[in-house]
Amino acid sequence: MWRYVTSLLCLFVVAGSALGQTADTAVANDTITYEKTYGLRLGIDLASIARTALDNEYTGFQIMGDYRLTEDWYIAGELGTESIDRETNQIDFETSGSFLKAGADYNFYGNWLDLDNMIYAGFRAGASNYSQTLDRFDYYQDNDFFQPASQFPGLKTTGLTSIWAEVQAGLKVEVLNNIYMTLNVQLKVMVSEDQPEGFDSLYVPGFGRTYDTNAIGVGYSYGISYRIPFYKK
Amino acid sequence: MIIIFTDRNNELIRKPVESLQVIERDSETPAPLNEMGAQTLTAVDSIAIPLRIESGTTQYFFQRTLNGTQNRDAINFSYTVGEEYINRACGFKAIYTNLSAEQEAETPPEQWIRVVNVRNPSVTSNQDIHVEIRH
Repeated sequence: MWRYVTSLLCLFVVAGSALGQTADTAVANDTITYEKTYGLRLGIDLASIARTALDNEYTGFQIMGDYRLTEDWYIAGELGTESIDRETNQIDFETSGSFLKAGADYNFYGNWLDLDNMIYAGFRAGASNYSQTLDRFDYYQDNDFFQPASQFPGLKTTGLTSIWAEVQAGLKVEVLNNIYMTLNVQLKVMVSEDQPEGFDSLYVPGFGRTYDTNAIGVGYSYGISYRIPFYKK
Repeated sequence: MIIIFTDRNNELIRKPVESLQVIERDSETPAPLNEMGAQTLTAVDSIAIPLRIESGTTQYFFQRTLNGTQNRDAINFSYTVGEEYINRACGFKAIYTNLSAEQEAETPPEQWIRVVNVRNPSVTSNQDIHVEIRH
């Protein structure tokens, strides 16, 4: 029994001295801090380019950027154009315009070592300037006793402006040095919406389709960005 | 357009028509008289009939059948057509303003309708009474 106890003690002493040695060297290593790169990240939205190719009613292009302020805070924004030429049963319409979104992103992700990825939440104020054309409509009728032909007013309303608030949640992952893939989903609430006279804004560039019964909009983005490194801190 | 039938002597009293068809003049087809699309109604004191959208006039024969005898009276409705946006799914509906109704004269006069009176010249919903026919 005692034999075992003494051997255990020996083991502790040996282990303890070994630990002491590693601790000594680790103190020196602890002074290494991983510097974060600060810079301007600019990118393009691939989702709107893909939709332009796949959806013949849609044309869109969007650039996005962010600038690092602190370790976790970034000022961020998007700038783009969208147009849609949609045909439905009762109405054909076209909406075309540009939009700007500005706000900030906050990174929740604790990076290991020198990694610099983001799982973030962001907020934006969005504004869009657009025009909408009513190309065609069919009268809505209780019965089809009289069948009037489709109407083609071609009525264009320009200078429409809408403003909304938006929250985003997403990822920014560094796939190569300074090259990032970005993915996010967006939830929006319309704050102020211009309507063409005697009609509705059915689509707002940057906001997406509108709903008759509420002011909610949704969106997503998938893009690639390059970070122009300015300095490390 | 909503039409009600009232007593020839007292417009406050509804007076049903024994059997009624309303025939559009150009196509000679009976118009739907209610939401179900019935073309003939008996003992009816109110009907809803459509108006032409593309022209500002619609001409109808109001054909009453009483004891097997048919009597046709012609009424011409004229109005201004406009449209009103409803929502994304339905789009636009037609609205009619400046409605007037005129009964055509007959020779010899054998008219069952005595007076046609526009109560509301703006036909914007199916909740109002627009025309009153006294007989």
